[in-house]
Amino acid sequence: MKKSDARLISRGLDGSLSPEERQRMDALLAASAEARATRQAWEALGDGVRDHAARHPAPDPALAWQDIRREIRRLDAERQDAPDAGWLFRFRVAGAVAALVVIGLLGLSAWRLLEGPGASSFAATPLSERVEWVIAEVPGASTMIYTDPETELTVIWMDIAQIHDPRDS
Amino acid sequence: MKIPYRVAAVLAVWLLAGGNGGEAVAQGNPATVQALMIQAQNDSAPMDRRLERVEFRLRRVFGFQFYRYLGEGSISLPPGGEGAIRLPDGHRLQIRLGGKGKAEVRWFRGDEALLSTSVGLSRDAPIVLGGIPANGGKIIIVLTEQ
Repeated sequence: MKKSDARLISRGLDGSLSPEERQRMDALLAASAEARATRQAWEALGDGVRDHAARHPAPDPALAWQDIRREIRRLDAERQDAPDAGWLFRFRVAGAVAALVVIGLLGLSAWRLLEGPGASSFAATPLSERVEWVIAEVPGASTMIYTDPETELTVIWMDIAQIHDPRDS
Repeated sequence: MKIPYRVAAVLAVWLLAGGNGGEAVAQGNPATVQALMIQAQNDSAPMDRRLERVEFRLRRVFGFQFYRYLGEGSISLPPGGEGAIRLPDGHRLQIRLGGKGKAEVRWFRGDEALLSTSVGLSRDAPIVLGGIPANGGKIIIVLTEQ
């Protein structure tokens, strides 16, 4: 097939033939089996290219450049972080432990303010917890137990005024 | 970066050890029990700085005008431990520490048992044992956990 015939077929597939050239191409295709086969092969090739282009569109140059710059920044960041990754991890763990300890201390302090010794806890603590039991072992003595919330004293008092101690004389 | 680890470790140990001033007995640690022996009386007695932490409290609770320092003693005991605090004029406290801040206290004068009790000890809320006549006044023993 002559080069001019191939160019005619190619321009015919592009749809850029004049009416006269169109008549010449139709005559060529009618007369030459090789021309028809060539045109059919080129049509299939064109369909394949168009199909591929439809499935894989060409990227927007601006978006493609943004992707490239983003990838460069990511790689730079990884390179900078890599040598200190262990230090950073340890620092974060230590920070977390310290934070937990501080939270624990604050919680313990708050708990002790509410539950620990103090004016409020003294009043809240029943007498039975401050004095479980008392036995006056001096014959004839009696005991009194009382608390004073203001001074936070718990008093166990033996009334043995009438008991005579020889060493007192 | 070892400093944060050390700081965290110190804080953790402090927290586990009781941190901001907990009561040793209540936490199962050895505790020191202090006994302060005082004579309450209406006869005049000079001010004694050794009583400055308790005298103002005693004055609010008791009717006596004056408080005289007689002596003091202390003992450190583990939970379940037992020991004695010897005080002037033959007085003695036999103390046995229990759990949860409890202590069994037996008060003797010489060989004579005067009083037995089981009390909860505290740093800020003293237990006052008293009423034993002596020298025209009353003997008072103030028990605290140190």
